Amino acid sequence: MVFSSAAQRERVIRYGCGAVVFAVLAAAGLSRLDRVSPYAVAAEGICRELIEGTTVGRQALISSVWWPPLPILLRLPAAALGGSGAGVIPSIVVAAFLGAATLLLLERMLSLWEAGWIRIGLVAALALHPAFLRACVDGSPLTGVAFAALLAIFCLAEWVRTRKLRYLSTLSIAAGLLPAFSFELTPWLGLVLLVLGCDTLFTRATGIKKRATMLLACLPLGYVMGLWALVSWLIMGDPVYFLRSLRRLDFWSGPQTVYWVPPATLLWCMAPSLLLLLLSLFRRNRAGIVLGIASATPVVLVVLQLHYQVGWMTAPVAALAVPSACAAIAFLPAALQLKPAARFGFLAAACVGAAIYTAAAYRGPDPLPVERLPQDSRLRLARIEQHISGRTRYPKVFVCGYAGFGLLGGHEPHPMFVRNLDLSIAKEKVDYHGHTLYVLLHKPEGRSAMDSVHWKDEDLFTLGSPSLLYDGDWGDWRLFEIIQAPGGRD
Amino acid sequence: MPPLDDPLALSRAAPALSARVPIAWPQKILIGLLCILFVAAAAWRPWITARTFVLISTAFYLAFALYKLLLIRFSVSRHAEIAVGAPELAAIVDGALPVYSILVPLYRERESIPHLVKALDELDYPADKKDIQFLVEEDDPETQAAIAELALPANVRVTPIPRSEPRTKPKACNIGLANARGEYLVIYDAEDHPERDQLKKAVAAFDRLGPETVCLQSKLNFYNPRQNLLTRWFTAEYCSWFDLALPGLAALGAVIPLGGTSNHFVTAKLREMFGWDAYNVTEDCDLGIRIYRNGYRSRMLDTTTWEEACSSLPFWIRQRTRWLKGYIQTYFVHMRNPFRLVRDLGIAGFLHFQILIGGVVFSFLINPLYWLLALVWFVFRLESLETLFPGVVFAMGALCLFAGNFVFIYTGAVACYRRGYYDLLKHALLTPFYWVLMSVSSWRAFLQFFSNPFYWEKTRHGLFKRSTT
Repeated sequence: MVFSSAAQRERVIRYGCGAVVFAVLAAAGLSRLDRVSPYAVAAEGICRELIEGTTVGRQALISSVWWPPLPILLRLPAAALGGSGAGVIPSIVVAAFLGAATLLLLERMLSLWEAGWIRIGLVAALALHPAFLRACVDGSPLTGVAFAALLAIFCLAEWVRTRKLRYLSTLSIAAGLLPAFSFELTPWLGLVLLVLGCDTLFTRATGIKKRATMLLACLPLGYVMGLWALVSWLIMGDPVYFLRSLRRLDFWSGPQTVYWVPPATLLWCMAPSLLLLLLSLFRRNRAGIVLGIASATPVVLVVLQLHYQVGWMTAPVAALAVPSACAAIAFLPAALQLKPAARFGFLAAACVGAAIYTAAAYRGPDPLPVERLPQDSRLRLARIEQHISGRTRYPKVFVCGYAGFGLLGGHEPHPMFVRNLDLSIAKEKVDYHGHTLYVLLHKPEGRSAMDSVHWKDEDLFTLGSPSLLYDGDWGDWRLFEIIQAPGGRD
Repeated sequence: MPPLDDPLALSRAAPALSARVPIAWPQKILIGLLCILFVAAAAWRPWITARTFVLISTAFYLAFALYKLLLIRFSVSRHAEIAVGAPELAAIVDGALPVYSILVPLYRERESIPHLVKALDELDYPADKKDIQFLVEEDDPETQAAIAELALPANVRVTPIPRSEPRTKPKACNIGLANARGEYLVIYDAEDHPERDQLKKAVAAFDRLGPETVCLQSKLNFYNPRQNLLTRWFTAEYCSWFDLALPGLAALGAVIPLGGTSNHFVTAKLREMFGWDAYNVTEDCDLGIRIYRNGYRSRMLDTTTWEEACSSLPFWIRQRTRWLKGYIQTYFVHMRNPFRLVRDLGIAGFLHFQILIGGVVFSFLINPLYWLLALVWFVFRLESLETLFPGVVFAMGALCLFAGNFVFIYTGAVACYRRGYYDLLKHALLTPFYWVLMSVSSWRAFLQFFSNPFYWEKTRHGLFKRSTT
């Protein structure tokens, strides 16, 4: 192959390597379909509903900030192409693709910041980290989160360094997409925008330019949130339906079960960021300061959450720790103003440190304990089905919340099961007149606690309601029968 | 072979490439058949027909949004524009510069003449090498009188344009081209204020580029962007088109639909292509396509010509109607033989042509239908409308909603920022209202294309100067 320029050759090699990494990750993921993340199973169910054009599919796309639309929309084309037999494959392909994209982005950053060929070592350290590898192959949305957030960090630093409009616009797009990727990152995103605001404020420019800069930076974010509210109003009849679970955040407490990096070793990731921050403050390197703050804060936030036992933000924020530490390492030579030989020495040492860090992750306890998968869901579902079939001829079971997609997602359930994201007992009684109606609820823990059925009635799972009669428990699932006797209150 | 001074040379030498016949007979038959097929299908299976239409148009919207993103991505590449730096300009020796022809078609431009003469005089180019022609219609006594009142510099000639059909700007330009003496040639409008060093930049760029580049398009922008809301929107659109979209096209090596003014040509090559099509009301766009079909290339030159943005809504609608009608003309002319077009432009070039020329008009034509559907759904919540958007189509539609509309609005805002029009950013956010005006114009253009294809709706200039005076 003949290349017209060295840049073209480099580009071909870069994207060629990216394609190979993607293929390897995807193949690894496809070889272990039985060990996918619960998210992938639920996403499969949502995609299927969307392809069938059902109302519950549309509701699932937009009705909760904890199940943002973008990861689902990214999976949708592959799910549509693959048909009903695709299963969780779209999730694995997308996660592997975004994982490879994250590595490519990191390599691009390191290349731009003149890390030389030693950048390959840093990228490899991230790529081989067991937690990153697992996220790439289990179909989880974390790789997408890491990609969007790393892009925001990179563009923030480059905007401050070069003032090229392309970085500001890319930063704003990444900032706009982040809440639609992972709402848990909103506090971090707010901080990034605050840092940008401070930088803009202290830049020599006219007031109108400063306002325009911030408007441009926040425009996609405002647009995405506004559009989400509009669609929420159209589909759910309430413009802030998707935000209503936020008032029940205290419900989601206790330690997170999913970490990208083990909490104990997470603090190590903060070292390069803090070093960068201190050196940049000392040398008044503005790009280094903003990069130091943006890359250190994910770890700070995780530590704070672990301390206060707030679980909801941990996993996506922790997903940022290693890539942002790599970014800080890459920028340090510039902040230190090292000469080429010293730069090489520093990066080589950092590379060795990263390799040890990654190797240690293989020796320690499992860095990413797998959430309990609904592998027994088929069996559980069969038992519930058997239980109900023995009692009535015309049953309908409303499987509530996003957890229901996980329960029903992997296979074709009995027609008696109906997915439901916006339970209204009165309406169901009218719609399914003549049926014996049941409600199947997941225990309100973790993400499930944020489902509408729980924030609408906090004690529904534990106490039931005047219209719901406890029937039985199947693991984390509890079955209620809807009382349809005359005079029953809804 | 028609004589070179024939203003209708193209329509005589290559009638298949001229809009003299707006729609060829095979096209008429094909359109008729398609209409019959559509009506029959709509009567036989209305829902399937409607779904198919929605599927096609939604796929088009999605492709269009992605295409625009692609253009923006490429607009920042180093191949997007030809930049001529100050050292390169300083190295140019005036004595070595070629004669440069400047054509200025004038029709009822009395107010603009003094400013025009001053702007052309201020161009940083040796006066004896500026070959300026004012192309004045014979039946335009007011412009003739305004010119007569001025003591024109020696390098300015007045070329009378005989009163004959078609009465279009390209016909006048062809007469100017026949009389041009320069190695290079540029078109300016009466109200234009080109950057002073534009001609030298063009010469330097032509010298640097290979012989396949026969045209350089300068960026256009307005000197009255803040006159009213319409000029603000118009400016945002121009920033987006000339600063992002066209450089993106140039970087991709795609066809560039030329803007109406500040196109710099290699005169000999322009003559070789028989100049402009006198029957096309957007002769610039058509010429941009023909340049590629002849195996040549156009590039974007990093220099700006400042124009007057039309500030009156009725005149703006008329101007836009003409432009979009010209796009329709150009589309039908070049699609007379699609296979030949593919051969001339290549597959990628053909697709660029479809989306740039046909796609733009198509999107403005069908936009009202989608707005109406959305309105009906908002107000009446008709569930039957939902059946028009089955699974995948709904997903594509959602992506257009989430990404497509945003891309168009955001592009305008970024382009304004890039130009330094920071105060216009907030107005760029209101461009969906501007799209409504575009759709009104496109429907006017569509109807006028069949009723009065050669009618030239003159743009009124001088409104800004008059209002400020």
